Amino acid sequence: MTATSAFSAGQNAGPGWIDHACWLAGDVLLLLGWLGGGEDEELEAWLKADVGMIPLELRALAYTRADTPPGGLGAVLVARLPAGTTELGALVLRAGEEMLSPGPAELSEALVEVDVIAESLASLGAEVADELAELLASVPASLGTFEPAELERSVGLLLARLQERPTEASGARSRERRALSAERLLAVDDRAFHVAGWVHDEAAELTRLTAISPEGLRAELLERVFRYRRPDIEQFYALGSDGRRQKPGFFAFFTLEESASLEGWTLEAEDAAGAVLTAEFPAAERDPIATRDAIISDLTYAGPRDEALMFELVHPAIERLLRKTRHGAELEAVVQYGDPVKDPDVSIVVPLYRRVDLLEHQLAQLADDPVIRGAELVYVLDSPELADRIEGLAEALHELYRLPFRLAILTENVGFAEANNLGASLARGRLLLFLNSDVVPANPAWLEALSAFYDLKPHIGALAPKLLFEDDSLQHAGIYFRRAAGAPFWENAHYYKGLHRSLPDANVTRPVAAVTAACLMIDHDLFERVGGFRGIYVQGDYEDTDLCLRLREDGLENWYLPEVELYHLEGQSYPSELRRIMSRYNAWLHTRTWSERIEALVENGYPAP
Amino acid sequence: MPKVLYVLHNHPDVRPGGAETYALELYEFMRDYGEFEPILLSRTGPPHSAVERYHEGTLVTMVNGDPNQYFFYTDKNDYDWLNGTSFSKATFTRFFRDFLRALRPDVVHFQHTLFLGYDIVRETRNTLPDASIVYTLHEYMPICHRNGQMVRVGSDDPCLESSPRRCHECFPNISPQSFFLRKRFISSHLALVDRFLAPSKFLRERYVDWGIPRHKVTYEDYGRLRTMGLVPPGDADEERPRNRLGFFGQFNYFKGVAVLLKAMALLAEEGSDVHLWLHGANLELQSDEFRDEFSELLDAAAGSVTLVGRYERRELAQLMANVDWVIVPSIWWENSPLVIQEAFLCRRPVICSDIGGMAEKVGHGVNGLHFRTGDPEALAKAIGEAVHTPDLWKRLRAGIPDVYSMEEHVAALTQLYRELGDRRLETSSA
Repeated sequence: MTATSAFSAGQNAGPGWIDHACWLAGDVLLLLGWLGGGEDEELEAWLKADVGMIPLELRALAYTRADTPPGGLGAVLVARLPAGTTELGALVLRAGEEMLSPGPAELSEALVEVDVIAESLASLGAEVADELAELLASVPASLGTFEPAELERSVGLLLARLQERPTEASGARSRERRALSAERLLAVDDRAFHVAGWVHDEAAELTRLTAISPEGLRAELLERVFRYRRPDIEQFYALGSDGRRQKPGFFAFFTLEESASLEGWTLEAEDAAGAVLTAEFPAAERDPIATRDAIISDLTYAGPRDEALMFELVHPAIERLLRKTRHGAELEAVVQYGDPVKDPDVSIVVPLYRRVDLLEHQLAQLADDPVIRGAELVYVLDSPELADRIEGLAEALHELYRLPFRLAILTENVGFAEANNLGASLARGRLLLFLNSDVVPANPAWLEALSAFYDLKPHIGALAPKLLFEDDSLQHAGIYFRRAAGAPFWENAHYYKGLHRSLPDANVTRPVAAVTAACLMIDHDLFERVGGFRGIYVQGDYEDTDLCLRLREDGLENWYLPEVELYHLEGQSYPSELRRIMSRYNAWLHTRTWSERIEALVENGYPAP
Repeated sequence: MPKVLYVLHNHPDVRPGGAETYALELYEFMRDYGEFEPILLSRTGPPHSAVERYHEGTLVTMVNGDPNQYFFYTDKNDYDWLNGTSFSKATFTRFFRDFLRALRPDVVHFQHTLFLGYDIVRETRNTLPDASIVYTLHEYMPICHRNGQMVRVGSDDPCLESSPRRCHECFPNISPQSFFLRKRFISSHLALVDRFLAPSKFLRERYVDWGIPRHKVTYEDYGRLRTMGLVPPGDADEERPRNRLGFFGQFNYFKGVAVLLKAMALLAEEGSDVHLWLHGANLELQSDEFRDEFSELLDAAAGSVTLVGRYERRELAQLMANVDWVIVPSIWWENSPLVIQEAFLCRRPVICSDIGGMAEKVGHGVNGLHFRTGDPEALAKAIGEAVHTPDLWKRLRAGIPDVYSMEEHVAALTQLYRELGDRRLETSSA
């Protein structure tokens, strides 16, 4: 460690300096240095700003340093800077009587990356290292930050470094490093868990990796982990190509015989040299949506070759999560507005998710259609947080539009498939029409045209009309399956999407491989018989083709009826990495079930256009 | 009816522009002509339009209710300016391909491939092996990385020869090897074009020099709608000094506005009684440096210049009727400046730079005057001559030729499309 400079500032200046500074997160700064001053003095810190001195939230550790003048303290400080601090201004540090005021230039010079600081910290000596580890581990929870993920990562790296123990091999001390990090614990339920972390061992091969519950239940993970590359870890350890092949990242899904609690899990790793590393897991994440998203976001580390393998591994966890959500969902309330239609021929089922304003738009456009009045209208609210709002709204809308409808409110968000299934279970019509909330009619007499066609067509499974974007271009004209050359999964695609509604090829009434669930008519009994929509897909997608392929298994055909048109106001979804991976997962799962059938379809009669 | 697909880099609805307006007029006229059914596909998205794509799962959206006009959204951040290609190949291999397969044109006629990429030609050939591919060359972008202007960086001298070394001299941070590869890349895709159209002979020669086989480039000027040239009758009857000048075009550096304003300042110094009306747009898109110079020069020209600003196409005839001479002071070669055709349609003689497409289209002493390119003094002198020589204006007016009409143009294009179609039939059955 070298001192940058000894300087004084102001009347109360004493000796002292900053060796290194490092950003642990956007608003959390770690400082390593030396302050003149007594041993038991409390350390304080301020940020010098225009408005005056702002005291900083601080966690600090003082210790004796061998390489400094007597009477003074080595100090490691972790400070949280105020919100909106974009530049590192002047700081003031105080230990008792002594003050140190490093200015922006000095601090900039002292700034290093986390791996350099890690080196400095690791050479502090075992006792200090332990105290420091304790301090750092407490920082995320006790100090807070605007960038929790970043802070966790930096702290994790420092902790791993501090916990390394040098190895001895046949008398010579070698600097082979080992580290273990238990990053995440997700509870699918109280017996099924998904864990993720990383392990780095330069000395020997890993022989054991065990997750241990607070009750002492053990899950051996080595055989079941998926290992993947972690560029951040590789960079931290400055690994060459040899090291990179080790693939530090891992995740695994496992189930226990008995239930376990969710806090206090530890992770153990043992290598062939007999060294044992331990790490503590944070408390388990329980929220099913957060859990699902966390599992999926781990998959961002997958390269294209790993994809299928990773999906295969997370599939049990995801499946279990989805099943749990489905079974846990209940109807909180079912409210009937107006007199229920007697013996309806058609029941229209509309899932509502995240937007309730669409309810009014649909009612306004359905209210004057006499055929709709003769149909049963069932809305299913799949966003429980909007329950209060929609109940008030529904009553007011019914008063105005006088259209009878039923509103079912779910206790939890169950997803597209289950929401529709529940709506269908409440419906009494002979025919079901599944309708998205952002679908509105283009012309009158659409519903009777659909039912008439459906009733006349033998061996029909599902029926869908032409759907248009708001500019009269095609949003849906039948679904086909496509696969780019060399790609592992089949994807769904809409014929001629974006082209004008009058395109001749899009105006041929014909059987198609599949149709969209945005506006899908199907016989009620048939729907129940084949099992309804399957809720195995993540966040909506492929449920419709999955249903349509099951109908084909039954010897039925799915039809496209372009003479009936409605608008489907589908906008550009905001693509996030998470959404992209969810789509890939769905495509993988769908392909896993249906690849043979799809290949046969594509070869016989339903090729890509 | 066979189909022709026109591919543009911008739709005039989104951002006005000469070449794109011509393309839309061509589309409309071709539609009425009734021999080929035209389809129009215009690239859009930032920076031309304010919005990015807004429909899921497709890059294609409607322009308006016309079932044959489409936008094609691309991300400008995906565009490789040096080589003229998109980093996102799926744009072609999936979305453009789907479009071609759905509409199955017999002819694909590229007007511009900016923001799309030259390799869109290859995708077209791959997907529609029997279609004819026509490519109109509007400027020199395949040849020159400096915006297709062929003007050397630094000296602003017009350039006649591209080479890895010379291009590297203009762009020291791009290696000669990169320029070599650029040319190879572009050529490999353009080699799949069946016929290039050159609106000026000058431009044709530049491309032949660059390496396109002569038999593949046909000289074919822009066809213009006669209706835009209807000036009020009797505009030539007034006996008065013909000292009213007009500039019509973008206020950018290469259009030579600075040269013109300096000439006006010189004329103002002399006490000349000429007046200039500046019609145009896009000043706000230019560099700060240019905008500053522009304002300074405008001030220096004192009361002899009126900045009219933007104009609608339908106003053009009236605005031209208001001036006697149209000035085209571009400092680059130009191709076939639409404004020259417009001036001739409105029976205005043209004073222009003495190079390239301008010098080709305007005859010095026949229907206009040339001046030494980039030289404000020479321009001031030419203007002085124009204004003060008795009867010169009338004589030059009389020398104005008929402008190539859209009817003739569409007839020629239709003929070309048929020829190319027949030829492909021959070669494929051979």
